Parts: sequence; structure tokens; C-alpha cells
Amino acid sequence: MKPVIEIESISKKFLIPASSQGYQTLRESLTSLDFLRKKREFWALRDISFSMEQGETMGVIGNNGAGKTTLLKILSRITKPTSGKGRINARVASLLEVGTGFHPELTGRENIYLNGVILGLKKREIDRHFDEIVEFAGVKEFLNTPIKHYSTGMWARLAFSVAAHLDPEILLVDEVLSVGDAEFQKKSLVKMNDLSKNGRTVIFVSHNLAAVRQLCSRCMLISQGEITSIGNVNDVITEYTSFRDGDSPGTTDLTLISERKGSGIVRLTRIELRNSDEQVKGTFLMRDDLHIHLWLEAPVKVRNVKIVVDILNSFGETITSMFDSDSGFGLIEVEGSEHISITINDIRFYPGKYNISVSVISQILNHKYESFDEIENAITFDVENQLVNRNLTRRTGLLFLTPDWQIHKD
Amino acid sequence: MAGYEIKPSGWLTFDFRELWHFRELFLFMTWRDIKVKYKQTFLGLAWVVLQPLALMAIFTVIWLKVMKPAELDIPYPLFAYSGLVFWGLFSSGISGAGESMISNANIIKKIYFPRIIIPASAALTALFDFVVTLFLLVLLILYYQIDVSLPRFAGLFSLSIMITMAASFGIGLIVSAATIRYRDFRYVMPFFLQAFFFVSPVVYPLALLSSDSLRIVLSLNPLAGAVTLARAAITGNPANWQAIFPGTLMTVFLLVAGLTLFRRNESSYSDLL
Repeated sequence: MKPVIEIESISKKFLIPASSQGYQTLRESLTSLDFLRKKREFWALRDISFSMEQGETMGVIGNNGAGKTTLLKILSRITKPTSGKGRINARVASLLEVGTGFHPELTGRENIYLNGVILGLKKREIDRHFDEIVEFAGVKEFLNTPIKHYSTGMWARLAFSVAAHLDPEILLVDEVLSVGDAEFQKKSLVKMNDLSKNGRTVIFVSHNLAAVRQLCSRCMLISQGEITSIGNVNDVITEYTSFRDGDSPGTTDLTLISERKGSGIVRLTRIELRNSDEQVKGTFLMRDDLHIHLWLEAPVKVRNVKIVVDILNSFGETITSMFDSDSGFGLIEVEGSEHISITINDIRFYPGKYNISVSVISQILNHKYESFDEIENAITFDVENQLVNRNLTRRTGLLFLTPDWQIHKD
Repeated sequence: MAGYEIKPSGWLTFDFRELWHFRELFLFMTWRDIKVKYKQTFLGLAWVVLQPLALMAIFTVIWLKVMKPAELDIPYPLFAYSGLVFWGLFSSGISGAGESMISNANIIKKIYFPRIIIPASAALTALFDFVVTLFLLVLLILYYQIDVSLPRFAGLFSLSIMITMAASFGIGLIVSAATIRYRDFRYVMPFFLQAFFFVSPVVYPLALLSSDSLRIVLSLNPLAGAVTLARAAITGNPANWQAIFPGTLMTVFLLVAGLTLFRRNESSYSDLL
């Protein structure tokens, strides 16, 4: 059978001006002879080739900045490749976010139509599904209320309900599951499952490895713009969650990592894991102490810096998200280099592979913050069990707790 | 439409079939712009009429008290208002189209559609406002009891609307393509439009200019031709085609240049925004 998606050595290059402002100003171009100055070349994607048959569901995984979203944008024609070519042989809907084009001043009813048409539905189709959409979103009483008065949950439900009524032959989805509450995520997983069961072709970009495992028949790992592996879902996920190449266990030179988010005015330079004897280690035993050491650098003084450390298991589930402020710690300012250590006494994680993501951000104000540097999967470590003589797997739990047990004679 | 090619950008022609496919999006974007513009305003649509009306009043006072007026074919308030509504169509078309790509950046980065829909719907929004202002123009014509031949009026008037819209859309496309690259144009445009207002025969007749060469330069202004034509439609005097032709030629040039420039850069918009 003819593949529905055929992609042949697609590459995408961005030119980033040396002065890394968001956009150019005319003055810059005029005064600095911009066209003569070297621009930094950045290959977001390099030589991507793959094809998909009808009915396949492909998960695309990789760290932030690896090129996953760029690939999806090229597939959906939002942006053009620099070289290479491809062909899509079916009707496509792309869902890079839910609620694209929602306008706060417009009512729920008006936004259903606007968003639906933007996503590629015909007005006729929206008319036909209107009641279902409203029902599904549960916003019947608020249909004529401007959505600026909606709660975040209502907003997300409405957005998802419209998207759920797309019925394309190929669906391209980016990380839509990361918004909304657990119920919402479950709903969208079910919907995607339906689509793939009905012979639709789905490309699903996600950080949620559990969802990828559940939904996808194939998986693609992208790192630094290239496909590092493609094939069986479990194999690819295992590869993704194993050690980074070239780093010895327990330490990572973060300056070598290009896949990161943030403005870079504060930068993480190194992460190290040590045990209670201050030895650098990649493997820990349950109930060991874990010391995470971070080094960061700021060329100029930066105030109100906040650090968040996440620990994820090999299924991509976040086991803990540790905010410095939760422990009463806060960096008032950073200038030059800083060395910080985070001590977790008595780790209770089940045996398995874990990885750590670190975010350096500004203080959060009204749910908004500025991102300075964020690195996913900065380092991995193993936890082993030498305490109990039974098999501790994810099936039996996540945390090893040894509470006090007592008999009460009433 | 089932399926498409993915390939690097090149010189592309307009894919009219694709534009037709996206016609509903175009109409909905226009509908949204109109709707949002007047939501939460107390006077709503009345604003569209109040603006040229207020300007008309101001310029009438200036004209009568300060300028020591020249002879006109029609009463000055009607003269000024007819110019001002075309100015409104022209300038809000340019500024609307110019800003449109930036204000819709979020959609452009998340979904594919022919990008020209965005500035085009901004231009259509400007036309909507213009049509609203026409009601007052009709009232003024009735008030001054000007005998208008309807078929001739309709013909010449729609021609001048087309010239104004085409020129405004052409310039709007150039501005929006430029603004995406250099945000400076956001600050240049208000100033540019203000200057443009004074070099257009909106509130004064072209005949007021004594210098012939200056008159010729100013007649290259598309708006000059359109406004002259519109006034000929009202007065019933023969249209001075000589004064209209250069501006119309300019309009064609601006439209073609705008479309080419916009289309040429289309593929990079989602990367630059």
C-alpha cells in the first residue's frame, strides 16, 4: 500500500543574528551592516526521512529543543523546510495547541465557530456538531458569556471539545495533553485512541512517555535535530531514558547541552550526584542520601532567581517537582558562578532509572515567569534495591515507605 | 483538499483553488475583527460615523474662518466628508493590514492557511466601516438637495472604492511584510499616515495648488484620483480623467508590488513572528 506520509531527507536551518534579540530592528540592519555580519546557523532538523502507512500511530519523543515541534510544523506546512521534500497523501488536521484563535472578548458560541474554522472545519460541520460540542464541554449555560469570564478548566474543555470533532485522515498533535487536568488528559487520550482505532494516522509529539507507550505503534527519538532511532516503542523509550553519551555516571557537563530553553542570562554549567560520603555516583541504593550539586553562571547580576528540580521515572512520570522556595531557600541574586547543593535524605524511590530536569527561572508573579535556563534529562541515575527480598516494580508502587506499625490492645 | 507536497519555498504563484478552499476562514476572521472591534464600546458602530463627522466639523470651521475658501462645486461639509470617508477606508486599511500579521502571530505560528487571508480580512473590515459611514454621506447629499444621477453615481463611486481599496491593500501588504522583519514600522506608520493625509486632497481641492508640477506629483497619489472621482460622482461634473489616471496606475503598481512582496516572504512569516 502507498504510504500516507513520505518524508525524504528534510532539513531546516534557522539563521540567528549574532545579537540574539528576538527580532531585528531597522537600526541594527542599517548601522551594523547586518548583511555582512555573520549570523549563527542553527540546524533545527537534519536529514529527516521516514514514511508512515495508513493507521499507524507514531510517537515522537526527545528533549526540549530537539526539533520535535519544528518537524510537526513542517509536516503541517506552517513552516517550510530548507531542503528535502515530502508528500502527504490525505486530509490533515494539525493540533499544535488547543484553542488556537480563541478570543477572550467573544462568547463561547462565537469561539466554537471561530476556532473550528481555524482548525479546518467547515461551518456546516460545526453547525451539525454544535450541540455535541457544547454537551461535551459542559458549558451550556455559559454559551453567551465572553470566554474571558471562563475558568481555565472550562476554557480547556471548550477548546478540546472543538478539536475532538476534527475528523481528519491524518492528525498531527503536539503536546496537547500537557494542558488541563487529569480528567481532561484522560479524555483526550481516549479520543486519540479512538482515532487510531478507526484507521486514522496519528503523529503524536509528547513528553508523556506513558501516553506514547499506550497509544503508539511506533516511536521516533529525535535529538539535536536528527532521528537517533525509530521503531519499536519500548526500545526507543528505553534508549531515550538511558544515559547520555559521553558522560560518566553521576556527572554531566551541561555546557555541552544545546537542547535547552530560556534566555540564557543565567546558565546551568554542571550537575553532579553524590552520596553522603561526597562521592560522585550514578547508582544509589534505596534509603541512601542523594546530594544533587548544581553549578550556575550569570555574566551579569540577575535578581530573584528561582530553581526547580524535577525527578522523573523512566515512564516519564514526574515523581517530584522540588521548588527551592518550598524548602525556604531562595537565591536573592546570582552574579558570576554559584555552586548549590540539594540534599535529599533517605531516598524512597522504587528501583529503576530516574532522570533529573532542572529549571532556572525568575520569581513567579501572576502565573508568569521568565525562563532563564531549562534542561530536561540533565542527568540520570539508578536506584537499586538491597533492602527487601521481593520484586519492587512500577506495578507494585512508586515509593518505598516503611511506616511505624503498632498493635493497639483496645 | 487531500494531501499536499512539502518542499522548500520558491517563487510561487497564487493558488486560487487553495484560497477558495479557505474562504470560510477569511470570512470568519473578518467577522471576528468587526465583532471584537465594537464589543465593549458604549457607542459601538456609531464611532465609525462620529470620527469623520467630527473631523468634518473641524475642517469646515477652519475652511470657512481661516482659509478664505476657493469656489467649490458642492458645499464644503459634503466636500470634506466625502474626502474623509475615503481617507478612513484608505488609512484604516493600511494600518489594519499592517498590524494584522503581528496581532495574529499566535494563529500564524500554530496553524497553516494562506497568510494573505490575515491582511485581506483586515482590509475587508475597513470596508465594512466605510459602508457604515456612507449612510451619513447619503443623508448629506439629500440635505443639500444635490441632484445625483444614480447609475452614474454608483458606477463612479464603486470605481473609486476599488481604487482606494486596492491601493490601501497594496500598501498594507508591503507594510505588514516589512513590519514582520522590522518592528520599527509600527512607529513609522502613524507618522507616515498623518503626513499622507495632508498631501492628499481630502479636505482641500487639488485645484487649490497653484504650482502645476506639484499638482502632477500629488496626482500620483492613488487617493487623489479616488477622491476626485468620488466627488465627480456626487457633483455630476465630468470626471477629470487626466487627474485620475496617474494615481490609478500607481495603484496597480502598489497592489502588484504588495502581493509579490508578501507572497515572496510568506514562507518565513511563521519563523520570524
